Amino acid sequence: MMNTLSSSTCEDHLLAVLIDGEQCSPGSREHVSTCPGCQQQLLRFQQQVDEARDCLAPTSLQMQRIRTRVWNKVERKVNRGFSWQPAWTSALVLGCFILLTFMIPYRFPLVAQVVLDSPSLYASADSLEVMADQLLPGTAASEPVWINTLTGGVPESDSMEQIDEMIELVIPETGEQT
Amino acid sequence: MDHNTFNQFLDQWQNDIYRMIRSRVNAPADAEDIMQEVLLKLYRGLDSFRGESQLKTWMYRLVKNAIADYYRKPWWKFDWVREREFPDGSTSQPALEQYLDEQQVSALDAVLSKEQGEHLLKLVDRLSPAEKEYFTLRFLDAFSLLQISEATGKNLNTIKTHLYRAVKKMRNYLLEES
Repeated sequence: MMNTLSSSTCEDHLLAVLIDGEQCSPGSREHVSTCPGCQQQLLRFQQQVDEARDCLAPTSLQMQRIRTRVWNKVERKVNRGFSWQPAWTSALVLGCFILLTFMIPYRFPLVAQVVLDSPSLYASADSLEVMADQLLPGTAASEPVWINTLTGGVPESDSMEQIDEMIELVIPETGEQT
Repeated sequence: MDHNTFNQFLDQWQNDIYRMIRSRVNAPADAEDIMQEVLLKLYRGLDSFRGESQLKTWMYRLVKNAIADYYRKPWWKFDWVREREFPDGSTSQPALEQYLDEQQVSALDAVLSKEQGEHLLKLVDRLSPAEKEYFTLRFLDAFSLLQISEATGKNLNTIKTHLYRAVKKMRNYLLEES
């Protein structure tokens, strides 16, 4: 580009012509048009810019392809009521997944067991009793321990005796303590 | 707007619009996608264009917004089935043979010209974002200073300052290489 300019004056004029274009001062325009060095640099710059512009231009094949796509989209938008876009499809699949996984077992446990062949997410009362028996053997099956704990209810006398026995096992009596 | 009118409009402006996009987007495939979006917006909005700004500056804003939207677009909105619409096996990158056919120039001249053009574009990439934007607008998009001011909303002095720095830097890059 401007690599062989003879003085800074030349450079200033050339820059003014390049940047301002038609609106540059008449002095700068006159200088560039009469100075052979400036003219050469200006032409060279314009040539390089034109080459760069050519590089950026689309080929006819590209434009043909883009136009086809645009018209396809325009016509599809005019004609369609609903079309299977990837977004719609994935939303539908996700919706079904959520429905099957969470809603059906919650609302219809029996359906879940039959259809999905898996136990409900929520344990039944029977299974809670079994768990309670395993944790604290001898506890009344109909009254799980956690109910007494929550309500502050008094446990059965049998249960109290068992608990006393358990305490004695863990902390044996060592005589009177003060 | 009917097809013929829009096709005439495209014949006149398609190269400018594509160049505007391509100078800001590196991947040709992305540029094609963005071009498609811009053309669709133009198709819908051209009738309502009231001429408050110049057509070129309006198109520049459309391009800028389309580029920003494209890179903000979530993955599920990408047009994954794009290639299916064009089963001709062609790539987005124009082949050299096709370039030669279209430009109607000799092979050597074309290669040299293309190399020089691409070289200038690489140098433009080394400018700061603002300098690159103003340089591209002024020289590659062929905007006048007033059009740049209208398109970007910046005042003339700011634009001139950036352009002055950009051209100076370009000169230094070329000097370094020579």
